[in-house]
Amino acid sequence: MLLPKRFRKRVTARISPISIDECIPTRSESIWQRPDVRIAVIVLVVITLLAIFAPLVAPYDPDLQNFRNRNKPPTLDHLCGTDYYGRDVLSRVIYGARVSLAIGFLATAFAMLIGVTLGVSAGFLGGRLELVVMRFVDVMMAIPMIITGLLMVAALGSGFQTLIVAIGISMTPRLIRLARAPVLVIKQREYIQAARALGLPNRIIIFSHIIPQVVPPLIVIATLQVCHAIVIEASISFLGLGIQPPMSSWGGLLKEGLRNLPSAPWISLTAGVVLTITVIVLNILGDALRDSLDPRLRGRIRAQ
Amino acid sequence: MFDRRLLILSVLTLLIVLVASACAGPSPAPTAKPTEPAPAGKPTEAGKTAVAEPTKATATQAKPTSPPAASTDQTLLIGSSLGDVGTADPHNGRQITGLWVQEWIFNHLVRYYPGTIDVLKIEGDLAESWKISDDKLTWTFNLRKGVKWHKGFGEVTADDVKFSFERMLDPKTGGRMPDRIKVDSVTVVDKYTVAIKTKAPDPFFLQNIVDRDSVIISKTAFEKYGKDFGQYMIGSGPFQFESYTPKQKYVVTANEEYFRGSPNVKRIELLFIADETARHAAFMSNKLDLAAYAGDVKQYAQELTKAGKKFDFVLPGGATWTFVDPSKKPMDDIRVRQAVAYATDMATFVDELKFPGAEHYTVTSSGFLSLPGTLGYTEEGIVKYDYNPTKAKQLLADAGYPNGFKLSVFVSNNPGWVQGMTYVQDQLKRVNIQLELVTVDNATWLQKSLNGENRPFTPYNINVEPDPYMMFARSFLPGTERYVLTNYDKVAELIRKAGTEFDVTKRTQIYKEIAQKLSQDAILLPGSYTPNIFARQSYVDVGYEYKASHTSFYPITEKLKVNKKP
Repeated sequence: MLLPKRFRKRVTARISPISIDECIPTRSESIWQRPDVRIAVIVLVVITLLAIFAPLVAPYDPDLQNFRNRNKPPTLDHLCGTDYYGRDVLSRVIYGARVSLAIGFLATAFAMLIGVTLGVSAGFLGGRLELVVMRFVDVMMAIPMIITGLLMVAALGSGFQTLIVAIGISMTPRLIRLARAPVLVIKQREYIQAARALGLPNRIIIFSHIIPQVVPPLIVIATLQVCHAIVIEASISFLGLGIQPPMSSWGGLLKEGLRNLPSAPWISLTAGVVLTITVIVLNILGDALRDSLDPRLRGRIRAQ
Repeated sequence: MFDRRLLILSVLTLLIVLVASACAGPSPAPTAKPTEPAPAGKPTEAGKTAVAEPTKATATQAKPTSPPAASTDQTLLIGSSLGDVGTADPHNGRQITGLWVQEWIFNHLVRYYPGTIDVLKIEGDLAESWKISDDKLTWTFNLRKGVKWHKGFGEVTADDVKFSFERMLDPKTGGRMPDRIKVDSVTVVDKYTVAIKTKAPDPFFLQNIVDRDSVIISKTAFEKYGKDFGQYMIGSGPFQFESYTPKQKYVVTANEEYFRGSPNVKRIELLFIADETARHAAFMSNKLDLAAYAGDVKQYAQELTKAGKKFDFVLPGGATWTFVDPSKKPMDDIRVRQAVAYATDMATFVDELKFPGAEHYTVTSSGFLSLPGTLGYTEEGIVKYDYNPTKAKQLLADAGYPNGFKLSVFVSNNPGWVQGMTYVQDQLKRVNIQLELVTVDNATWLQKSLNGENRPFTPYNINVEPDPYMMFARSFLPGTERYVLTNYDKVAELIRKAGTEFDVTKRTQIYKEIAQKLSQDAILLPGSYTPNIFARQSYVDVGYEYKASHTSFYPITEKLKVNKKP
């Protein structure tokens, strides 16, 4: 069950090595038992399903304009009102979920792929490669993610694919660091040295001994990065450089709505609320995953 | 229970935000970024005051010396939509507000009759009379005698005129006069006579010296202050400079010795309030006497009308056009161009967006740059291209595109442009033309357009001028600035002819021909045209029958009156 806050704080603050006791495999603490996680999962599944089945669910064609029926408040016909061009806001939000979620997950996957590859190689191989990669990361970390994203969009042009690459690249430096750090510790371990002594090639050591240990915590980070990606996409689209019209994304909708906020607040509100809910849900999931994957925490829970 | 509490807290916050924003209703958030107002265009008459009661214009220009009105407050507060005047140089008014200030403090040699932009109604300002030599090269101006510079800098003489012209024509000054007039020499004939010789006969000379950056400044004062002249601004106009706080306000006071009589208003404060909502609020609470409105202003119309405020549509405004390049596939086929024109329902677009009462917020048929009120405006021989998707589809099929085609267009991320093009995109989709919009920042857009990457389809905003010569020339004369947007030279000869035609009637006829040709060849897609919108309190009396202004603002002269503040 949920861990009391004061207790958890003390536990996570500890930097002592893991005791034998804590390492004993226990009944897996099911995060599914937490009510907030359950709600979060349900909400995320619903949003994902809506996005996948958008053509079936959305009441209208999201791009169909009806200029005579513009900026109309919510009615039974248009549950979330209509936008500047008389398009159905609800349909646009549902279709926007496709873009926003796709960018969120794909950009994160892209960042993970590059981040883990570079981070693990830098950490394991060391030497000049590490020097170059890590100094480059230092430079990149000095620039805020949104700025990197904007720079990439400016360089690559806007559009769905480039947006994924741009956002992915802007998130990579952080993941490189996070992937490299544990490798530095792991590669000193006796079993790695043993594997080396046996003459195993680096490739096998990396894939069978290192990556399996590095990736799980990174998956936790990744869930949180998905939120970041969605928000960066929203910011870039907000500046008018993201998804191209008439496609909709949540960020794009926020922007369109803002221009008409005094007369038609429902556009920004609908998109904003859905975006907020998604980010909260992903944060809850990330938090829960972290709790369940952290062996120290798990051990402590068992000790309770 | 940490996480649950977090969740509850988040939901609560969300709810509060929701409720708050619902309650706040129509107030927060700035609307469309104010686009820079028409840089001193200067159309002819046209333009009506919407609700304004036109006061009878007193046509005398000598010395009407109206007695100071019995008003309690003689300060005029103006809310500007721009954040600053740009530069403090009277010959380099980068922002439209810089032009307003020029007009208050200085005089030109000639001026439009206040409240009009009719090229036939240009009257003397500092010059009492003028004549042009038989070879159409030399303009001789006889100056008004006894006109005094502000703050004791003596009398306005021919030396000042010569000095001012030489300064405004110096490319180093940075103003726009070197592009507008080509002057060979400026000669002082006597103390009150000056002769200006142009390099070639120039029918647009008077129009250009009425406009931006062509004011006459005091030579003595400039020699005294040099680079700091902007902090003293010695002119001869109805108002004299008092103070300027960058990005905050610009203050001028009445020039009691003004040659047309002492101004009714004793002090003008131009306040820079770039935020639309803030400016609107200030105006609604009577903290401003005049306020500019920019962007999607329709939302304010109701509130203004209800509160009994007056608003005026200041002509000329700006027009949005889409240039089509007839040299590029598939636009090389006239049927395709016509199909695109027939497929775009601009009438609905304009009807939905127009500010109530603004009959000049109008849809313009494909083909002409001349707009109601400008020289050469005609309905005759202009192909209307009223919305007709069936015809559009038929034309496309005839041209060999029964399934439509695909086009990619770069659009500046300026919200107004994206908005217009998104509408056009949807319209064209209905006839199977897939218009892919690629939004880029404004600088990139400009670069791409100038490189010709945007052909065959380029949206563009044009500030309307009273005499459409410049608009035609820039757009369709090979080798000029906007020629890159299209590649159509069938009217080049006519434009060149208009460029040397001194007779306004004949010139008007040429403009009509150009417009007809453009519309028949479907070179410009139907566009929309908007005036600038200004609101004033009911107690502000402009003092002239107000029709249009080349400053994109009310003409503020000595006659403007603040009757009584509540």
